[in-house]
Amino acid sequence: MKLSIFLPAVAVTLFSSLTVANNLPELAAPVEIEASESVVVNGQTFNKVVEPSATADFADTVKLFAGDLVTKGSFNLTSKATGLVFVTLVEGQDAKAVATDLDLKLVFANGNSAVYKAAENVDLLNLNDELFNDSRIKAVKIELANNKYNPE
Amino acid sequence: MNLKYSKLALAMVGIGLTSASYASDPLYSEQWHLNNTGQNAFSQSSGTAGNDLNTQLTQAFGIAGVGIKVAVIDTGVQIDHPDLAANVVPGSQNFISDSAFPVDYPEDPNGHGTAVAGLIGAVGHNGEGVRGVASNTSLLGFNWLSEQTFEGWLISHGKGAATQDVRVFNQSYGFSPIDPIKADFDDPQFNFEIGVMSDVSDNAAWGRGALFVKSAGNGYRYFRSGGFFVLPGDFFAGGNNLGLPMHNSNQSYDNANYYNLVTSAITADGTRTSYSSVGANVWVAAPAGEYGTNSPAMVTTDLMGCDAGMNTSAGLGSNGLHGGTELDPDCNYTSTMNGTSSAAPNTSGAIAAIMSTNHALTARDVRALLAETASKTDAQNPGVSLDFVNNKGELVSYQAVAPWTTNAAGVDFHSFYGFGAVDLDKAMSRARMTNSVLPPQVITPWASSDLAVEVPDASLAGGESSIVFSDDVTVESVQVQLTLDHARLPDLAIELISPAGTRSVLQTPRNGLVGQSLDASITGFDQQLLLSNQFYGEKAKGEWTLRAIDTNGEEQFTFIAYFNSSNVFFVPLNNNKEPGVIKNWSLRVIGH
Repeated sequence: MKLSIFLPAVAVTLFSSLTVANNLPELAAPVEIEASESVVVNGQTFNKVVEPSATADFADTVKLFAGDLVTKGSFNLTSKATGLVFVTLVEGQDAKAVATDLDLKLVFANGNSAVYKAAENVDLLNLNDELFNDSRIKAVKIELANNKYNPE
Repeated sequence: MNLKYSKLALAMVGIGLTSASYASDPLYSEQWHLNNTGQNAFSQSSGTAGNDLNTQLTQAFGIAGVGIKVAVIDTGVQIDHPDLAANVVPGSQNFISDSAFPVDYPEDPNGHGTAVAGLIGAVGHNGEGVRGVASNTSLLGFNWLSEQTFEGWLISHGKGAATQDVRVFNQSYGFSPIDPIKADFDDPQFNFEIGVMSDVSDNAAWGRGALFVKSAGNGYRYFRSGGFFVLPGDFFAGGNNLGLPMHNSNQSYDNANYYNLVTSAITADGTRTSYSSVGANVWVAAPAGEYGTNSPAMVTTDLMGCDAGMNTSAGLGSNGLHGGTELDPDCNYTSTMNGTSSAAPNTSGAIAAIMSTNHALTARDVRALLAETASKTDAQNPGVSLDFVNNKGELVSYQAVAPWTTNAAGVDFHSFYGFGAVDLDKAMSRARMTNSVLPPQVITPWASSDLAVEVPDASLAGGESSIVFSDDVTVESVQVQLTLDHARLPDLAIELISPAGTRSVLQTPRNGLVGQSLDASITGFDQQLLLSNQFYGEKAKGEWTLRAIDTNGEEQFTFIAYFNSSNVFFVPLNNNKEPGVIKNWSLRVIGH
């Protein structure tokens, strides 16, 4: 569990006196995350953003629900769990049957790939494990969206 | 140019056209990308005549994208714009969840997508504003960039009811990571996206397929990654990163996806724009221009009114068009649009016109025609040489960006421009004469080497690994997946040498892959996906060699993370004199 992160372990120099001697657009300053807890999603470690008032409620087992925010890296790039899960099925398996059996909504299937949506109250980490252990499924990935694309 | 006008004149006589009949869009005369006469496009300087998409014969024939659907996947499109509305067909979608607009109106809160749509398909010959490259094509708008949901991605990229017969998807967007990104074909999300794009590319529109056109990026000098800009360490000292790109377009794995046709941007003088990302994965270059103040940018549609978009009442004096001037009192047009965001739609418009010339051609045929007819622009460009002190203390030089090079199949290539500048008239002429350009496609299995090879610090010798490739196919594109441990990735150049001896630099050194400074868990490239088009037409069979060259022995390499003028972080990456290690790499060929 980590209660506060802000530019950890990075040697940086802040030049607050730098004036606008260039044409770069001004972006928002890096945000300080007041409270977070470590969570492993898709094999990578993130910090799950929690409300400061909720820090006393940290559970022993971290959960991840649709809408939860996680951050990574020293500049706290934020991603949101959307509730979607990408799955690669074993050849010949039926995406609809998996959805029915696990109470998921099948969003789309293409070949042996499928995308499922979990209900809002489903712990996505637990769902990930459940899918991973299902013999009909080869691989699983929880979607973390971060609006990464920009007009260019 | 004399030949061009002679052909045009003949064509016009042949079909009974006069120059007056195709010049009825008031701002057309400043659209240098359609017909560069050396006009200034409302900026302070002029371009060089002849550096354009070469559209005159195509326009004289009235070939303008009829019957071809183009999806503009962007910030949105103002589909009731007076110079777009007549070309908009049903099927657009509004993905913004709290939008006040209806679901079939792709609200554009930014103006970017509206400008892009105008470049592709602004209505021609209507006495209004500007003209699109394909001025009679069918446009659909999707504001997916404004709310990037997965469902929205599917609908806008060919899996929606209204997009199944779209033949061109314009993607004037991208992302520029600072971390290397694992392109794991066993990753369900990656596998899913590639699967959808492959299916749409091959099978959309009743088997003729569709093309995904994509901008290379605007990161030559610096780029935005998430919430900040990544600048070279010498930026505020007036440096230019030794002339090398901070963002090589191969750094973004979606640009190394074969199914994206990647475009770089050129000026009204036919040279690389100051900002355009470049790389071995660029297919073609297209006009986009600079910023419209000192030198020409694009003249295209803008959000209507003087209180929205790029052209507002506050912009009076920024150039000759903006601010509610006599030429455009309602501020419905802009002359400052640029970026590879403009190169992509100019290419998309050209593709729509080519497809409408001959509807029987497959998307892959049209892609090939575009390459085979592209023109060698900026012919004397010398590329970029990087001088550095090697581990013996000697000053040595590495050709990080090659000049125009002719491969063993006789195909010219430059990583600034791919196969060259789009030449619509030439491609259209070829399209009229054939129904099949290429034999059926072959995508070979991956061939691999897992022999560990050292990459010495600061040495031109580099580390070298070879794969003997047995498939007897002709190359269109080559993809490489590379796993390589190295403590400071921006030091590295990665190059691939074909059996015929053609060298292609897949990754230029001194780039912006600086994430190791912020995340110690990054040990190097892990299945990094890279693509080259430089071997087009060569035979794949034989020995392919991958080389990794460390070009920097300096103790510290610094980049700048810039949020705003009050939050500027100089971030160091320390050198590690331990050699890097090529751990494994794979190669596959997309060809025939």
